[in-house]
Amino acid sequence: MALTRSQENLEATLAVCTRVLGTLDGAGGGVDPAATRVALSQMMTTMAEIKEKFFMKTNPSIPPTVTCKRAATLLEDMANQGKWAGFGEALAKFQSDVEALVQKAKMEGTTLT
Amino acid sequence: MSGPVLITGGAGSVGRMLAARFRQEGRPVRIFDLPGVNYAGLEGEEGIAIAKGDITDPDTVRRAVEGVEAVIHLAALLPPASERDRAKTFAVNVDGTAHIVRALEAVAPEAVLVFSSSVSTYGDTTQAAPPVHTNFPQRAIDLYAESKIAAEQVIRRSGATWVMLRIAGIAVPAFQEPPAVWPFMAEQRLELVHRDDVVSALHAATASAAARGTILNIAGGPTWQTTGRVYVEALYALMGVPPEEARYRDTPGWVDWYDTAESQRLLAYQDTPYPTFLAQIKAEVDRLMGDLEAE
Repeated sequence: MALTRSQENLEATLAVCTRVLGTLDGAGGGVDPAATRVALSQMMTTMAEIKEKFFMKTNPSIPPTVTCKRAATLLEDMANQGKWAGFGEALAKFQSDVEALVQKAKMEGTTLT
Repeated sequence: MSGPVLITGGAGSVGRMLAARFRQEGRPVRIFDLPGVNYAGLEGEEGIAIAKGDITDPDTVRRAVEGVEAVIHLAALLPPASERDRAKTFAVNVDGTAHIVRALEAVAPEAVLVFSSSVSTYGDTTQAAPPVHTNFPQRAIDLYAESKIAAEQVIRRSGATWVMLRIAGIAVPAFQEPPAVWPFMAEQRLELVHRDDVVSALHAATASAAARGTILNIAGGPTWQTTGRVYVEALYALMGVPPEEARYRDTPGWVDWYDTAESQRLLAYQDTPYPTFLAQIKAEVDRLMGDLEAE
């Protein structure tokens, strides 16, 4: 079955994260490459785990995946431009966006008596 | 009636709504639930007493029942948890009910017991002509239903004053993940009931003298009578999910259309027609989509 728009957004976000990982060896501005690599990898694992959740097939999953993709793209832009000073703050924002997405993906089950 | 109402399993969503309903009337409420559940919004609220305990412990149950005028017994292990451990399911759903009944007989014999039973107790009714009446034979097709039938028998043999509500599947007006496999066949008759209407029925049952000693089906009414596929596809359409994503049982589940004339006459609870439920789901989806900016 074709990917939904949210699943496409998630895949795009994962691809951005992979590219960001490749830039970390040259990080400056107080960015710890090893710790950042661990944090990004954990988020990538989490995002991959929710990709097939029912929520990701619904329209309401689109806004939070767009938010995650934007936050990841901002990280990549900063890394590519060597703007490491604000990188930590942008990473924290991205983590928060991913956590919000994961929380929404954990929809509670239908109640039946 | 103005005395305390005990709600077992009362920290759940239905219990909380019931507590709020009784508090609006100024009636004291006692919430009985497991110690580990979330009591936020209940603990410390005026007119709400918390009795933490396990329904399988008769002494704790007896203390919780003391001095009440009504008990709404919601505490139960529900599917799918109920299907994993027969002994545990019967300990909670049957023995727990017996503890309530014994406590009522001993310390609150004038109180009324409103028991949350289930239409699942009818089992597979697909070969019968609808609607399902309360005199339809009970034939459990899962542990949950088996335990509810046994619990009903405990109550019927007791000296307690009771109202038995066989409640249909509850439709919650929230954006929720559906089961991996819907518990009915696509073309099977289906009648759910809105959560708010269940709350109204349970609430009304505590006060209705005419309902005492009766067994009542609680379901949504004619506007909710549909088929599994029609219900699911309408929900999926609102969420933007392709209908082919839905998976259904390939053998009949315990859903059908129900005779609710008597319950509606006695309890007047069917306030939320199916189109209203769909409108509520749509509003929730629209709210969730509200954050979307142009990509």
